[in-house]
Amino acid sequence: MWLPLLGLLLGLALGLLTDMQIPVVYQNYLSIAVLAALDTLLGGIRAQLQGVYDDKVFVTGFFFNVLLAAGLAFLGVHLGVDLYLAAIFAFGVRLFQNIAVIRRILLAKWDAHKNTAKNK
Amino acid sequence: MKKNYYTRITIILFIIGLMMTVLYNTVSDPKERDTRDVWAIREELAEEKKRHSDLLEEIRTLNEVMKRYEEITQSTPEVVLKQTIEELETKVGLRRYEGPGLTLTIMPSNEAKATGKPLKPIPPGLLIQLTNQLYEYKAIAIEIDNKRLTQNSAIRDVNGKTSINSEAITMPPFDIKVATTTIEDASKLQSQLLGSSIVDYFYLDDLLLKVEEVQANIQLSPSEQPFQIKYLQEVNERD
Repeated sequence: MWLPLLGLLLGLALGLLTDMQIPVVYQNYLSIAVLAALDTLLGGIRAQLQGVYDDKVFVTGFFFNVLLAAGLAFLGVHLGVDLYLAAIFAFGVRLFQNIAVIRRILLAKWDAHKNTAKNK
Repeated sequence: MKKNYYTRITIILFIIGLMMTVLYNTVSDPKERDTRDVWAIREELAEEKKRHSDLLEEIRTLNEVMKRYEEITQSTPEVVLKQTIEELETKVGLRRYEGPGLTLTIMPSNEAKATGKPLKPIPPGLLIQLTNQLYEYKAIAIEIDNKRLTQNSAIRDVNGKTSINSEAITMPPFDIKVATTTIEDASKLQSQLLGSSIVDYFYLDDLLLKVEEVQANIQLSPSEQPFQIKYLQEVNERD
């Protein structure tokens, strides 16, 4: 349970301590990649809670989403259309949907847990 | 299955954390915001350009000296050495200077005379400001009340009297002789002085700064103060 949190902290510490930076031109791509990664993460958690988690889907989904989002932003820059907005919109909507589903599942689990405790 | 899931989530979270901090570092990179506007940048650019041209000028003079050395090096190196010493002494103010320039006269203002105010010596701060401004306007040598200014000259207050190199200067009126490289520089200096606010500062101290006409040949006496060289050493050729 604590392992994912440790991973997050490790990533944050590594980034802060090494003071890594990317050229400002690529800032847009990275921000969209972060959004894609968050979307995949929440999707994975939801799938796990629903009992339909698949390792392959999760890992490929992560890389595919990140690359697709960055590719879309890249294409947008070259076509002069803000295509990255499409990605932000899609990921944003899915993010909230996933969070809503996770919340409902957790609430249902909690209720079930309370009912069993009462019956005992 | 569950273990696999946690490992994957950990790796993904690690990547997310890293990406977020990299993004944070990039966004907050300019810790101090550059608030200069176009004019401030232009001014800085102008200053740098001036320094550039000054450096080029210096390089040119040094090249000339080098050329002279090369030309006469076989026959009489002493002549060139003497010439260089002469030039340097003129530059620092140890020799009489003759060349284009102009005279400034400092006298009590008409109002002070009319109201009968007691005569005061010129404040050292004002004199320092004037000399600084003169050097800024390309003056190469200055003589205040027959006292030549050198790199070591100190203008200060000694027992209520303004003095240069510990010698008191007389009460106004007295003359300030300013030498420049060319006549054009002298006339430019004259107009810059007339247009600057330093004249008003003199007026505040009941003094009048009169800028005389440009002269083709002005004579500045050498400094009587000996140079004390504390930190320079002779170069040992074997080193």
